[in-house]
Amino acid sequence: MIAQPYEHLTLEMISEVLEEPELHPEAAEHLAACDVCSLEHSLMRRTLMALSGLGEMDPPVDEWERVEARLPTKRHVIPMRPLHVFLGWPAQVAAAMILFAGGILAGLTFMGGGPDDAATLVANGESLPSVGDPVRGGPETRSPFALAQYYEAVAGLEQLRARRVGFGELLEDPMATGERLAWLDGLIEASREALASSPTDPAINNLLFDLIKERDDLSVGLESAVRLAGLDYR
Amino acid sequence: MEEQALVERARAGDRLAMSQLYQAHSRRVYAVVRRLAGDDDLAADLSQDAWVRAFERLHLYRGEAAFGTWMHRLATNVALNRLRRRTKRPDVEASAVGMRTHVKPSDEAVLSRRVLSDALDKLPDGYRRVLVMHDVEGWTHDEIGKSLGIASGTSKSQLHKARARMRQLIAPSAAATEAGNGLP
Repeated sequence: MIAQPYEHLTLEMISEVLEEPELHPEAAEHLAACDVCSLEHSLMRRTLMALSGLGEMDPPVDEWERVEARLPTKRHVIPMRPLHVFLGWPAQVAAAMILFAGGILAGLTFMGGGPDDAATLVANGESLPSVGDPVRGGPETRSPFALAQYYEAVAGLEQLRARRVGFGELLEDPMATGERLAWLDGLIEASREALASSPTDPAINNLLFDLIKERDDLSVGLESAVRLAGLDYR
Repeated sequence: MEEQALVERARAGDRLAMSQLYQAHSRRVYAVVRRLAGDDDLAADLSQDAWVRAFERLHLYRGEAAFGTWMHRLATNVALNRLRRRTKRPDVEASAVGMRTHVKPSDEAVLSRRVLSDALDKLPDGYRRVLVMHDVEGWTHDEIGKSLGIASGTSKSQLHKARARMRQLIAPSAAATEAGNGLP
């Protein structure tokens, strides 16, 4: 093919012909007759194919360390363990009553003492919200402090662990058990708020389920212990 | 482990799961922000920002698309938002009009990844964004227009100018190859 003695197409026009040839019939006709423009057309097409095939690229080697350093403080999900082990100690009935009262006080302090608070419900002899209860907390109940509350509760439980307050020692340490109840309530409330935003999130649902079960087990055990002791905690 | 399970663990704050998600997608994420940025240092910042943002907002990932798709889109948006606030080179160059090249590059020169990458880096920011989004990432002009806040016709126009400039930038490298200087 021999190049024709007229002006060649601009590179932009060649790109346009590549994109929408039907809109530029004259340019397409020129391409068919001009060696130079035809070559440019071919090269641009090959360049675009090469661009679309550009692969992945290695990030800086220390990128993950830098990302991790910027993430919020490490969060721990405390492994939930059944509490009936230590609740069954009959010799600790009196201590259990104190612990329960401590839990109520701490719960009221932590939760703000609203009428629907778990601790208040216990104090009034009502049932605590159970796993089957509908999730409370529409948008109007969400709090910007939910995440802070979650972290605070997790940190509180971590501190209990750091103080080596094991499950056996909890009954010997009234304030520790009171704190544990309060932190559990805090985690439940934070999880409920999170679930209000993501009602179908399986991870949050599972976490909330576990938290409520543990909190309920603890509360029921303490109530039983108090009744066994014949003490009225109201 | 399935990716959705990793995502759920990462949502709960599991750093190992986050690390695994990062390992699986970091190269693709870095590639898109690097090409949009046209600069190593800026790309490193953008990529970090994208990952931190992703883990902070993981609760917003609903699972409708694959995590990699969601992450890729998030990284692109992070990069575009950041790039929009800075002006490195003029976005529109009148000199692009009427550009022609009469250099005959070899196929190897056209297809060399390094030559393409170098040419991309030399494009004006506005040209590079549109060209990367359209020709590398496969966005439509409507999508590009919405993302950049420009008309789809402007996106088309920028794309053709960007391709023309790209060909001009590639041509000298190709000429060097033909002269026997070789390409890396």
